[in-house]
Amino acid sequence: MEIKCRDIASAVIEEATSRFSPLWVVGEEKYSCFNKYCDIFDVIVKEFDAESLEVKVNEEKMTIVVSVECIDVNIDGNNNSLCDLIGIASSTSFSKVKDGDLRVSFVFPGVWDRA
Amino acid sequence: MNFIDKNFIAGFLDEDEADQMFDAIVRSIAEQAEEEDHKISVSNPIVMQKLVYVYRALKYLYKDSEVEVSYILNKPYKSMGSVSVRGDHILIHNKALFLKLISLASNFDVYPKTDGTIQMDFTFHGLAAPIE
Repeated sequence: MEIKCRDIASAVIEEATSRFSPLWVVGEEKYSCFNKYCDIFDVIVKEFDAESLEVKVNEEKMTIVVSVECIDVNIDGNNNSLCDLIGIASSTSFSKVKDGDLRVSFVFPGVWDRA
Repeated sequence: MNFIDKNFIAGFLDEDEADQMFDAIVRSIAEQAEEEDHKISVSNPIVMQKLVYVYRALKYLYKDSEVEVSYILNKPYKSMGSVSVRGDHILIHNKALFLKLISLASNFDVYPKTDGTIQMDFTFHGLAAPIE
């Protein structure tokens, strides 16, 4: 069965939420938006034949970092899911991982509201 | 049986035949590109303007960082040019401007290099066209 970005994200967000509570709770609207971003990541994973996808929460800044590892990235047109994500994310960065692959990391605002 | 009937009637016999036909296509394209490259060409000022804009914008975006910005003109063919960004870690600072730069280029590639750095290429086609 294919694992979707939403599945990975929900587990990570649930764990982080348990640590942030009771002061913070998941904002439904923010969470719903983030799920739509996850759907774009599923497209990216297929488009660039990604080796892996990772979701982490920066607990200090309460942001969500989604990283995709692939051999390379190529865009030959304006309409592209990668460009959509670059436009949506707070920041995007490119780095190299130990096994030689490219890592593209996107930082998104957190999905939590004050309780 | 005419050319069209002969070539469109059946699928490939095996993968080797498919690979051979693909290799022949790639060779034909390469030969055509080399032939075009030997002709007298004239620069396209609009494409050149785009390339210069992307280069200057990237120099501006990364002026205070360890990232290196460079450009190449008329390589590997006269009709091509590129602007490259190279560094250990490349962060997109100004996403609106960055997306504009991607839209101006014919191609945008990012890949890891063997020396541990990351390279980002904005490639431009049509930099020069042969005079017919």
